[in-house]
Amino acid sequence: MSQSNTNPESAMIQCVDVHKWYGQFHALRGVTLSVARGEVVVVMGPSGSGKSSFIRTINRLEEHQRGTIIVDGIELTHDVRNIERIRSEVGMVFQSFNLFPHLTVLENITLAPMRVRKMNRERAGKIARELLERVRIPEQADKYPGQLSGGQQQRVAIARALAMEPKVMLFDEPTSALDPEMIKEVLEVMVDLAKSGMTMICVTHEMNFARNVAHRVCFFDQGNIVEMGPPAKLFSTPEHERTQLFLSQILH
Amino acid sequence: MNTSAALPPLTERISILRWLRQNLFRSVADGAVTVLGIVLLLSLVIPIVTWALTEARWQVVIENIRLFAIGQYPIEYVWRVWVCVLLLALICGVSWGLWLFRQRAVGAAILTAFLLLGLLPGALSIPATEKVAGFGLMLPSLAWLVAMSTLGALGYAIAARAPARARKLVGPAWILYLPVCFVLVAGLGPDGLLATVGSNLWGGLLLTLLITAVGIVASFPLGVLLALGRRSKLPVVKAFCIGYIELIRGVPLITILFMAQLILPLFLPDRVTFGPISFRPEIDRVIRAMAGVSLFSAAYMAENVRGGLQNIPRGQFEAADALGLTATQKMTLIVLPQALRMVVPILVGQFIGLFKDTSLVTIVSLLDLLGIGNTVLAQPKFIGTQREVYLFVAAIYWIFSYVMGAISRRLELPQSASRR
Ligand SMILES: Nc1ncnc2c1ncn2[C@@H]1O[C@H](COP(=O)(O)OP(=O)(O)OP(=O)(O)O)[C@@H](O)[C@H]1O
Ligand SMILES: [Mg+2]
Repeated sequence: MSQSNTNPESAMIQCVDVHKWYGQFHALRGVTLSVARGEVVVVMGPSGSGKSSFIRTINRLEEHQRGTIIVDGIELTHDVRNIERIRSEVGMVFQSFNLFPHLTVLENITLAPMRVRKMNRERAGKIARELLERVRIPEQADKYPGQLSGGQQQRVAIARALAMEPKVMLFDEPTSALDPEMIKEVLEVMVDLAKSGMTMICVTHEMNFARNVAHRVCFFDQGNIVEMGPPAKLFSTPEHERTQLFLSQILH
Repeated sequence: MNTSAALPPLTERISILRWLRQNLFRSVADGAVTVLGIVLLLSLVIPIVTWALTEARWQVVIENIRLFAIGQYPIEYVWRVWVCVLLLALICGVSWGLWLFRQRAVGAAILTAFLLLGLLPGALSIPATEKVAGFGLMLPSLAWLVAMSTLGALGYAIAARAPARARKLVGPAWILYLPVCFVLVAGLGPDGLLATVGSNLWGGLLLTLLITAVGIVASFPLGVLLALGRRSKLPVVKAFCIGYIELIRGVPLITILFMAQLILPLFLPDRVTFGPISFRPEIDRVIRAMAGVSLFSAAYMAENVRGGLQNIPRGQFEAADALGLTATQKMTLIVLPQALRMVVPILVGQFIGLFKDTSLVTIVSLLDLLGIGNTVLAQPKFIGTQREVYLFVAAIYWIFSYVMGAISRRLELPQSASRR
């Protein structure tokens, strides 16, 4: 069903027939998706369709019960070492930012490089300041998260994830808790990131972002991908009835 | 203070009558309550103050001040206790300079506590036989105050001049402080400068503060471990922690103190032999009381810490996981710091409770502050001075509790709970 022309060898993320249950509830029903290096995939779909569940299985915030997930050649199993390796290769940005409120912005960003990558303080600090420059808030380094606007916090969260020099970035509705003017500043950072060649999976309903940046859009419904393709094609001539319904709701 | 902008113009502000009317006599009912309150207050306070200033025989406190302070602790080794106090002044000075330099109020509270502690050595440095009220007490007290303030200021200066180096030292200094005090108070060998002073000689405020300090320092890590254990995924660990916490919380402290005195020795073997050395192991009575207080306090600590842990949003755990932190790093760097900060006021409240509860060791016949009070009352010379003695003891408890509470209320922890 994959419409991308990547061969599996070079795929950064490979999910084959992924199933997930919450107790009795079958939340993911055989998702198969392969994401190439440098590819930007946008995931859309109605609420409760399993978008979050899916991207959270990729870094094991949720466990999948069937199928295989391979990230950069490492398969996700119960082996804790594999999980930790994959987590340090995969950055994640949450809807609710989840910055550490007891640490300054700079400490938020340097924590993982220092503790997980064993980087020394000077180098981690230098990288953190460069990243803050990149997300356009270099002047906020010594503030606490509570002192920043939502848009600024989300950009710090992106910088925090990037500090681990991840090979993949996952975004779970990064702008849906933000006011319109803040959405723009966060999206700008995400566009920059996509242009720099980062492999990204973004759950978002920002049509412009999907149209201009995404290589592929996946449409989720009831725990599976029902339709997938380049944004131009999917948005103009959706084939599946569910996709048509959803797009008509979102565009009006 | 930045409230001046909000105050009314000067002419109105100084009008006492206006203030009275607004705050005390807004309506007829208001006025009645005010008058009644004042009458009640005066009818209570006036007799007590009159009694305290005229009839009360404060001689009982003055003559026994040394007992109240240190119990039977030998006078020739008292300097070791004062070294502890001076060390505390130094470390507090450094900490204040490092962390709290903008918080004058905290500094003031600490200073008050030291002023009070400073009065004691002054009083004690006079031989008991020559002890008289009045000026005799003042000079040595002043000398001690000066010594302590000097050391405090020295610590502050160190912190201000060399913050980096001071920061490296102050953590270990706090950790080492209590063991060092313990060695100083208990002594090391049969003779010499640090000759052993048996715990049967410790008493008064010294004993109360030691039991409190050990109780706090021991129950804190224990309580955190119990709280974490209660959330553990391992059923045995979880069951043990729940069992312990619920058992201890269902029993009064006094029974635990008795159990510590009577049951702890049962766990010890009759004789211990290390090669040529063979002895009958014994746990000191004071240590047993300290163990009882710590084990008791740990259960409550665990519940308080658990409250903090439950308030950490799931997103914090997930963010830590997503960054690849290990489970231990997640706990020690992300979750516990936030959880503990959240419950600081509750923990301080618990510590104050612990401080006052140590008075129960009187019942297992240790001579803490209250116990000393009881022995003093048995002196034939001071028959019938219960009021003076208990008032004095209560005042000491109150002052220390108040200072602890004041410090915790004024303590500003950086950005603890501000999150969206
Ligand atoms: N921890 C959980 N326990 C039980 N059920 C869950 C849990 N998390 C999600 N679900 C269920 O799984 C389904 C998929 O949830 P998921 O969060 O993946 O949806 P989503 O597509 O991200 O929706 P939204 O757009 O609202 O974020 C939903 O029906 C939800 O109720
Ligand atoms: Mg979701």
